[in-house]
Amino acid sequence: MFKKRFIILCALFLALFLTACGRKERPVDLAVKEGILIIDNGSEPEGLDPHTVTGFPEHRILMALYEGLVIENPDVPGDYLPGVADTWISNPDHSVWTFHIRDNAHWSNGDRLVAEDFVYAHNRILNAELGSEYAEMLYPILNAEAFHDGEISDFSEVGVKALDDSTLQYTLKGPTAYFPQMLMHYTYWPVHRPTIEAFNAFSDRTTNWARPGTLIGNGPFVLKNWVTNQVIEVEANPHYWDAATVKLKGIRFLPIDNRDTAERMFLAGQLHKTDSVPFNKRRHYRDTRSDVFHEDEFFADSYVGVNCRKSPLDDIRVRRALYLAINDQLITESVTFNGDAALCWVPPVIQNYDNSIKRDYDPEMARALLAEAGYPGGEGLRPLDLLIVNTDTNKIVSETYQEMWRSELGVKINVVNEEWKVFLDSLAQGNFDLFTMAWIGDYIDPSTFLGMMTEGNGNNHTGWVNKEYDRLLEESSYIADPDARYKVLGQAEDILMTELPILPSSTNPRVYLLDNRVRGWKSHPIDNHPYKFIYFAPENESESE
Amino acid sequence: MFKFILNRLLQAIPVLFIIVAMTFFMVRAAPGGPFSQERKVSQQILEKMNEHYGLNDPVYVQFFNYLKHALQGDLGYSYKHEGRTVNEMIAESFPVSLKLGALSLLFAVGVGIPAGVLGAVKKNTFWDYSAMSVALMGICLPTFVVGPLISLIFGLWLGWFNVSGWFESGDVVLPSITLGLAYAAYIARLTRGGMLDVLNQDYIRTARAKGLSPSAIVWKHALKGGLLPVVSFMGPALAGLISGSFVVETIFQIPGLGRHFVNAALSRDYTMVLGTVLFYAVMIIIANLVVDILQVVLNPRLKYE
Repeated sequence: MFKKRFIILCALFLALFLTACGRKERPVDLAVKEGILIIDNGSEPEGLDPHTVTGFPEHRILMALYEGLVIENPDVPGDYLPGVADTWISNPDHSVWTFHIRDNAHWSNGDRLVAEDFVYAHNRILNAELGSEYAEMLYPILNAEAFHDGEISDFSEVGVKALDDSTLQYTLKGPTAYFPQMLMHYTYWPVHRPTIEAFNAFSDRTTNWARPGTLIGNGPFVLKNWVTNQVIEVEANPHYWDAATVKLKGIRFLPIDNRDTAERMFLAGQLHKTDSVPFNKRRHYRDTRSDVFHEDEFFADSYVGVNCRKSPLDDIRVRRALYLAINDQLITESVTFNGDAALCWVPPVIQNYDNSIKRDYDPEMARALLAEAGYPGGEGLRPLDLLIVNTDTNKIVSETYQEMWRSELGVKINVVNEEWKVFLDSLAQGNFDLFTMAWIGDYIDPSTFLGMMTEGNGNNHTGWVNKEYDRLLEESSYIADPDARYKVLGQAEDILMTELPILPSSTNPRVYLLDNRVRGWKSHPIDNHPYKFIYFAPENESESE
Repeated sequence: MFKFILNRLLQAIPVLFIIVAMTFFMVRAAPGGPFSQERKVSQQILEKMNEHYGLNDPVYVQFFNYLKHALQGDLGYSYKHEGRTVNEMIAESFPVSLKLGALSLLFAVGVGIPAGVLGAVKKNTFWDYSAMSVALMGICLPTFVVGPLISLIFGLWLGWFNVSGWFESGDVVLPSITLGLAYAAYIARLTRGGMLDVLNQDYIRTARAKGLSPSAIVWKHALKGGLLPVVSFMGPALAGLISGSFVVETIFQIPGLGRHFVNAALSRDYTMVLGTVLFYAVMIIIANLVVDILQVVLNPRLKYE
């Protein structure tokens, strides 16, 4: 009797288990019919308050929920289109910018969006009590830095004014021809004042206003649902000024922090786009699935940082020897299967900008320089610690460096593998000889790359200081003519490439898999894609593919 | 029995205190803090943030503040997930882990016990060797191998289930099997061992002599005693299963507690680390207590002492 019951129970369990079996309609196909885009967001966003977040996963979602004065032009990388502002003008030296806010700009609850909303938002992010990590993005605005640092307390002295409901004026520290580029960053976007006030969130970052139901944005979509580590859903915003252009009915952002999982989900029809591609499969996709594999130019570089405070790396000759002995082409073509060798520090995505010193792989010269520094064949040189973050790519790349420097120069390298937070701590303490890292530009201008190597910049971990370099960067910020300014920045980069506190190694393209029915997702140097221009190919078109 | 439970609960208090204290000081001793990140923030901002979260106070003050709030059931704000409390995050993710854990356990028991009984009854036959070889494989194969493998077979190739995600009712199947497989294997081996032990006992011989059918002997008389080792294994297994598995949750993209548990430690989200550890500890204590009570129910030789 007991046995019989047990067998029935097992059969029931099996039946239950197999209920869901049978090939079913793929989620992506269903979503295409509903006009919903499903994308891998890389990881869970830490929040959706544009004034307190700092990362890419957050930016990707904020772009759906908010809109700045101008937006990216998907057809011309580096160019911009009207956003909340329909027209703008600057004075001849680009130090005063006046924007006209369009009359039909609204918040997602229907409230009119006015110039004062921007002033309020800038006041909030620059208010030190809020503790925004990214407030320095607003430093080009006159007195913004002084207000943030507490040197002045009256916000009316900061160079942003609402002349009336529709007119917003910025007075900048100096000529900044690329200012509209910066306006596409979320730190410049407005927040809905009544919401912030209702939650008392002007200075408090622990309030819960940026959640479904309470987050009022001004972008093409509104926040519909957010389940931590599962999904963030947005739906089309009927109050958006350009709602007619928005083709998608909604977007689902899935926070997938495992590349292999994302790849499987893409192949199984659960995602329209992945955030990345496992690096050991890139070559396979490039060769066999060019219909879905994309490799976009990206404003990013990988580099080896050098501790210039410590001997023997305080000697330029030693740094140069290490640099000339790196065969980057071999790394990008045979190890990472990704990107190109970086010829200099600023990635080559900016038109009309160039520097004159380019890298060269020259092991012969490297050996000569090392001998000149007193270490012929690496003799007498202590083993150097190469600090890396514990990831598969870093391990393989660092082992390649280790072998290149050993075989070409006789330099011994200890690879020190650390967890991310420990790595950051070691960098802050200066406990390293060399480290590997990557840098991504915030906006399309050389200053976002060159600025991090100035004295006192929190991202310059190398201890390298060069007064002339700092002076050239300072000087560039007062030059109105873009070409003349690029020339000065190019001179600064030449100093960097001569002294080599960092050894630029390779460019990092943006690599991802994209469903070939998705249209309007175009290559963009900082990976920004205004969702209002994205749509699905009509059925007959995709079938014919 | 009431006295037994009360006694065990009282014993739990110092245990929990030690766990919280050790976690509190260990997580603070780890290099890096919740606000250290690639883009270094200015010292002034860092101080504001530390002040906001009470991290400028001496560590012992922070510890007693934490204890005070924890005793009132307030586990504080997460440092990583802005505006979210640890209580909220646990409340959101625990039901997911509970569901996954319960189904995994059902799978483990449903597969493990029959396999173990089969192995014991058909000792040293083809059936015994096959069942125990499969069990050994289940123990040896880690979830990060089994997970992707079965999601490839049943998700990608056969298209029966989604490969990952937690949206449809069928999404529970593959992760439950992945998580339950290793437990099923342990249960099978423990059941086999327990059953072999019991099948040699005098009372089973008596039952046989009385002419009871072999199935009645196995399922009615031997199984109850044979399951004792399994029951003691179930305590930690239950706690482990319902508090989530980082690996399975990451492979299958499940919004459970296991991912918080590991990610909080990696991002030095102090309050979240403490909250999840505390929660996990309470779960283990409760599960062990339940198991101890079950042991007495199953084994008349034991008493509540």
